[in-house]
Amino acid sequence: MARRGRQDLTTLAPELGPLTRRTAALGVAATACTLAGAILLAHAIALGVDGVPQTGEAARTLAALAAAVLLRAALGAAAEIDGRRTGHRAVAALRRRIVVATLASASSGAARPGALAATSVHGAGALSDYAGRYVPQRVVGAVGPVLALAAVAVADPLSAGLLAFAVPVVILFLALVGLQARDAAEHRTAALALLDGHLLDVLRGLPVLRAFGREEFQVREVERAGESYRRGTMAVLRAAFLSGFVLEFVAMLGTALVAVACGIRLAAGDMTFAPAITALVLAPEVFAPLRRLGAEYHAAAEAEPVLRALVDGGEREHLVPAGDPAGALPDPARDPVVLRGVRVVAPGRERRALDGLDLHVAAGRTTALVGPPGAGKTTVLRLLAGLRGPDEGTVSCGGVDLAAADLDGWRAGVAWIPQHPVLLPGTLRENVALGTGADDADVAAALHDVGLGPLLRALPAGLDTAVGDGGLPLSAGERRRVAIARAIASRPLLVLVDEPTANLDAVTSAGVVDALERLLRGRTAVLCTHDAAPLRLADEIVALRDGGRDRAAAGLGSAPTARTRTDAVPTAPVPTSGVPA
Amino acid sequence: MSTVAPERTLTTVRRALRIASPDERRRLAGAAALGAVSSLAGTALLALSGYLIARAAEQPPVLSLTVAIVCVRGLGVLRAASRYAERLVGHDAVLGTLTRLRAGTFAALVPRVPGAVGGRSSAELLDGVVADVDRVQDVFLRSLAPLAAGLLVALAGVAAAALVLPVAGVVVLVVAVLLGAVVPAVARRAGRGTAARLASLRARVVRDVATTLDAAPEIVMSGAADRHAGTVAAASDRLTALELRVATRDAAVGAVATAIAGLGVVAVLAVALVARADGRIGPTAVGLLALLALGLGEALSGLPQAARELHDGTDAVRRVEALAATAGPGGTGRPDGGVVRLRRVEVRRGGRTVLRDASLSIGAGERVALVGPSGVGKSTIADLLVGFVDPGEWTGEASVGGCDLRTADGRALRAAVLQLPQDPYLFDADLRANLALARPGATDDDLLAALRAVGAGDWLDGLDHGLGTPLGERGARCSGGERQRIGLARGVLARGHALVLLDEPASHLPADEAVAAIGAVLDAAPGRAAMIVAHRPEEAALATRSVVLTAG
Repeated sequence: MARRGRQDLTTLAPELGPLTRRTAALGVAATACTLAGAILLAHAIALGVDGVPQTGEAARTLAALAAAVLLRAALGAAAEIDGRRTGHRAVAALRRRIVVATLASASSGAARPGALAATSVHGAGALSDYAGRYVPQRVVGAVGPVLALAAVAVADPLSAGLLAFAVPVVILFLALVGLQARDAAEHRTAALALLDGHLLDVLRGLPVLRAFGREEFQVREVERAGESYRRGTMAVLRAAFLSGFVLEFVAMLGTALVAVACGIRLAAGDMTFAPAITALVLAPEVFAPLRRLGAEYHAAAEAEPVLRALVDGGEREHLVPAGDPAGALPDPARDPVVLRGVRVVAPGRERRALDGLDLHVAAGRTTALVGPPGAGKTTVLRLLAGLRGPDEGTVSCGGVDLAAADLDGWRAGVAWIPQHPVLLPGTLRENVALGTGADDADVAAALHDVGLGPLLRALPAGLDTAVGDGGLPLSAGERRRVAIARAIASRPLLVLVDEPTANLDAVTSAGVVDALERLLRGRTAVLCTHDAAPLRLADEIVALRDGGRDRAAAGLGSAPTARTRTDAVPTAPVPTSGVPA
Repeated sequence: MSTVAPERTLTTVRRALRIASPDERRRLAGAAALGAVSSLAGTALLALSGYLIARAAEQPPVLSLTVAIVCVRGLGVLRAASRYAERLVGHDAVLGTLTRLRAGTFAALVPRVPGAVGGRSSAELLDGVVADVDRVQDVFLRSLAPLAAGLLVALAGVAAAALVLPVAGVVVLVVAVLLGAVVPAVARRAGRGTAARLASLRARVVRDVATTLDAAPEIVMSGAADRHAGTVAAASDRLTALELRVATRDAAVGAVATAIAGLGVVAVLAVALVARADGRIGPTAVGLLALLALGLGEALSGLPQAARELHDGTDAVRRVEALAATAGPGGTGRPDGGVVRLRRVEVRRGGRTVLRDASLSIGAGERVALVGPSGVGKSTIADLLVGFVDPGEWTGEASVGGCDLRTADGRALRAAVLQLPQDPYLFDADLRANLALARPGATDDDLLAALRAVGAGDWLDGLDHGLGTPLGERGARCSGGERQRIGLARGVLARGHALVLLDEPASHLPADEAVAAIGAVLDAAPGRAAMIVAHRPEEAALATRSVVLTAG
């Protein structure tokens, strides 16, 4: 991705916007209390140094000082709480946006979903630091020194003049090291993401590593990745520490100049004690806001890549068509689904995913799409599912263009069995009944239909058995059967099946095909496969190649491989309506 | 999350310190010392400035101030420089310790995968290894070092204040005890248990978001999008609510610390002014005491935070230890050769019997085909023979190379027995790295020859970057057949095994190519015995004998 210029993080995430101004205002108020406290402290000291203190005045001054101290602590905490809340809420909002956008686009969209998921949770710390500490400090860093200088100027203009020279130096160094820190932080974030991804990869692949006795090697790999993370981190830290050192040094120098200038004038009798001690106590407060800003700068540097990742993670090409909620609801169980002249542009690729495809999906029959990977089979399924619309051409059912149909209703009638079904963390019941409202009897019957009856009986917890990540481990074949059971339980009008037997051995594959047979019988279905096993379920076979009908395999229309099922209409030539293939 | 037995924090700290190497411990001690020097210098700097300005007001000869002026400057430089050195030295040492801890934790997990690691999901594992290990550094950098420095400064401050005015010393002592012990204890009580709850909620939400990203089309098509979004949002809201509570608590503790430090200054000033009114101390002592208190307040106000980091950090240490401790000890038996004897073996996993009453023997160098219906437990036998079945999960008699599988050392076992699974895992690395793990030190020619031997020549020739071609996350850029050929090529490359278990490693390949590829694996190491799990008769025909496994 191209590096974008520095910008305020609030423009990236509006969630951070208005509240951060309140946080900053609280921070400035706390700084004002600090300055008032310093002036009161100086006054109290002067009472003791200039002569014998009067009890009444001393008590009044100390009481005011105590009040300033308490108010300052309360306002500082309020600013921090306010900012941290904003940060956590912003991350929660972005997390929600990622989930919603993912579901709205029905696609992961992330190159490394695991890393994005981790950032959406663990990034909250960085954003909380950013909004809770950096944001108020950024404003305090601008306003605080000016206020402090003004206070010093009232007490002793010469000291203020001396300090005014030091401030620009501090700001210059702050800017210089800050820039460096930002670059280094970007590298570190990248290194950490790689480290996370690498660890997960290695943990998943442990069986292979152990099989080849390579686990020790991978331990060293983990160490090596950690080492490169260490180097990246040290680069960031060195920059941050250097900035801290420079700021502290210059601040100290400035304060020492004031002390010496005041001391000499005091000793010479050119100055009274009260303004001198006031200038001296206030002098560090000129630099303190800038120093704290420098210390918190890394928070901004670390929050920025986190925020970018989260914002990018929530941005999807919105391809899922909305349809017309008031539109007609075609019934694919009754009417054929027809694709006419469909063209679909694949994002980021030169070639079209589909290039002028015509397809007729007969009602109540199973149409198989065969062809090499990349032929556009999955894209056809997404079109039929109503998960995206064609860039050109139409998808219609019973004469109703899906673009103008009630797509929510349409999708509710479609069962989708993806190539790699994922089990959601939850019980077996929840996974089968997902979105269908099926009762226990339906769920058990569906599991029985797909040949998982014996498994269900063997489970002590039955339908309450936890599955999904961290639950009962199910084989690839069993996961597919659960997905088929889910489809059966949903009583769909149209079934879409993507590569049901990919990565399965012959026997498991036969079992899955048997299960599918129960689901597909008498239903309108489209089955994508490049495997021969499921073809026995097909009433029609359509060969795809490079986003269109495969002319070379055009004769496959009702090929010998497609066994005519006993309950299906004897294979008649599919009416292709004379549209050129 | 596992429950962690209560234990004295100091005991954990001592163990945490042992993670560091002696050299790193020395450097950490050095960093703590530098931190103490910096804090002391900072406090002394302020106290001395107070003295200086008050003494100047008495209009002494300017020359008599020179020493104090030079000292102030020196202390300033010392403070800044030692702070910088402390941070560099400390962080460098700790990050080295962390790298080793991370690798050590991973190494401890190795013997437990596959097989449930205490029922933890991969997201939780990742959280454990990466995040908790990262948190361990807080024990060193953000708690032990500042606490040590704080203790020193407090002692020096109490002594210095008491020398000038005894009652001021008492006030400073009270402030130090409040900040260093009372506030942290109260904060600890208020936040008991939140760290563990936070960690488990975080793991839960990571898992939910990851599942959403993985399964979006299915969730949408099953009409469960709204419900799923609601479930995720509910967990996410609970996490956010807890995070907000923790943030509020932390800020409140910070505010209390700031207030106590500030009120400490007020109290010191009050007793100083009273003493001055009584004539017990002079004007310079007032200046010195006031600014000494100011400096001490700054140095000590971070103590509650440091104490909290100590508790959180030691909690993370215990969680990392608990994670590593879930790894059971392995046996020490070493198989001699690859002769297999199984008698009446039964395996139960996750509450299901996955292998029932199985008996099997494979002689030295023998090639045996294992046939039987799906789900009868053929892959389970393969898992058992490489030690991937927990001793608690199986009954019966089983030995490899004369060594009982219950007492076998897993590594030695897998040095004798090689398993080629049906769906080999491909790492997010290039083709070369994915092959070379089977034979470290193999030349590119070896790798290319192995690929061609299993019939991947055409595919290889079509790759733009040859062996340097990246395979993607979990080998996403390879088809099922390509994955299997890579797995088989690993089997061709592997050396030194007495037995190879071919668990349907060519099921996605056309029959003739599958036979050729499996044949290449069998011929790659002469004398290596083989167990071939196959469904196609052509593949089974590669064996000299078939064993039929039936259910029950």
